[in-house]
Amino acid sequence: MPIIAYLDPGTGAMIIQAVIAGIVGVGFGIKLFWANIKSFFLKLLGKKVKICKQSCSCNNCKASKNEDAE
Amino acid sequence: MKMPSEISIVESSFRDPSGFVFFKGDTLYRQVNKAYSKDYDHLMSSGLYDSLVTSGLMVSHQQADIDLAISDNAYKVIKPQQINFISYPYEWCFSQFKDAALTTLAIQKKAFEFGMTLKDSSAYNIQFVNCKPLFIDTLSFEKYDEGQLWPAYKQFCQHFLAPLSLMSYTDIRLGLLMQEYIDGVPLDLASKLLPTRTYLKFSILSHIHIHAKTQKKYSDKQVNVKNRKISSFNFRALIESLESTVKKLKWSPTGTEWGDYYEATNYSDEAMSEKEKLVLDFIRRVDPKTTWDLGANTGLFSRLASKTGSQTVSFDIDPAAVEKNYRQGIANPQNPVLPLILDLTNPSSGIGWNNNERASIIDRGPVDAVLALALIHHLAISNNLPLEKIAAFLSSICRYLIIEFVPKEDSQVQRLLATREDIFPNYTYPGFEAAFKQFFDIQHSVKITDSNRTLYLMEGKVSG
Repeated sequence: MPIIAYLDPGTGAMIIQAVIAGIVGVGFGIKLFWANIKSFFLKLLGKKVKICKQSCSCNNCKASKNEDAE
Repeated sequence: MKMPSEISIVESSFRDPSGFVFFKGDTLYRQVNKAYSKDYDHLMSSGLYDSLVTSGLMVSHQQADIDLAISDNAYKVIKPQQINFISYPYEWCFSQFKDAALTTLAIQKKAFEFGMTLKDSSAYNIQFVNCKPLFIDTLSFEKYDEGQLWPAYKQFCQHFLAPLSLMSYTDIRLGLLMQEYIDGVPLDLASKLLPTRTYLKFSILSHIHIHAKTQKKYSDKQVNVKNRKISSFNFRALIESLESTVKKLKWSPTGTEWGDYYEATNYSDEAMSEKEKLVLDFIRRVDPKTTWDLGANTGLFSRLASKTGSQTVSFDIDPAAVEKNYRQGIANPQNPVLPLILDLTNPSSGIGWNNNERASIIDRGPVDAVLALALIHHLAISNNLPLEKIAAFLSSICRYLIIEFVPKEDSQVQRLLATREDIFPNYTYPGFEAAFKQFFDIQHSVKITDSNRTLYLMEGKVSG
């Protein structure tokens, strides 16, 4: 029994989490599928385009943008 | 809680059996318990720790002598990078809160790449070093088992999603609910307070409204959830969904009390620039290591303190001013300050177990210097606070005080007195000086040209 289960994840929360994860998983799959198709065609056209998914101006997006820039 | 040999265990670190944080003298240590050894070793050896520290997401630490351990179930003792000022979610402006949420999710995503996951997602695990959010709980990681659910999901919704949604959709002041509920905003309450239109947004509908109803439905039922599994792909999708939900939440500072304060003061440009010079001169005279700017608005004078190298916290009651201060700090990181929301007439108290889990603002002081500029009339006149009480409070939190007296003739005070009877016969220069001399020695006082205000530099009689 792992010690780390110190936080009660909550029965209802676990059940709904599994359901939501299933639903958003489908959307996430479609999103990745289209992103792959898009990048395949862009590569085919020889264009080097980087799609930035970060659209907000918070610290995290800036940090990951900087990472990308590097 | 002081123990012999000056060891004190940090009151907020009792929940997690993986370890705890303690002070020996002024140095902070974290004991890692044997029960957590496998996860700790994986964190360190997998490259996750290095990756998180290098990307500036988590505090670094050094190995310390195991002899420093407090109990015999210790596996390691580490010495984490110390945070200058501990702040709490109910003191953060909207963007700080949002950045804290996104940092937590960024860490979760990074952990997943290294075969680990966060086992909790407490908002209190994020601290701000000026305007940069930093994860401080090195023991929050566990190995990811294929198929497992995210144990921190409920906590993330309560600690981040619920307060952020309420601040964004209902009222910015609802961030203060975090002070009332130590383990985050209950989702049924958030669901009740959110406007009906949020039912039309799938993310809020699922993560808050339906989540709240499911919690209620199963609250008194015994269900075996061990068989519930989600694929690692769906696990990632869940985190992506939470991230995109948080990113879509917005709030812009308009219409609150002080948003345009600097534009709306009765200072001429000349007087303002002289006030800046005087304040900077006073700060340089006392050369404080730590400064609190009370009633800082968007942090103009806080940045002067920071310019001298002082670690500065910039407090204001208005979430709009703090939001502007924070955004300004990100856009222009020169002279960094930590902007926080604080109502001085009801400052953050000690909350949680034994009133000790989260420290009051007074317990997080004292500091070397306090700036109280254009503040005294709000306390004395708007809030009927006797000058002696203001002086006593300020003397308890600082050694040096840089304070501006705003007399009754000033148009800002006239404005406050316009709608009420003047019951403040002592609110005069002699009355102010007499009250403050009980607690401070007045070292300098300079009248600010082109205004009827005076700036004082005082030193506390009982050194902080």
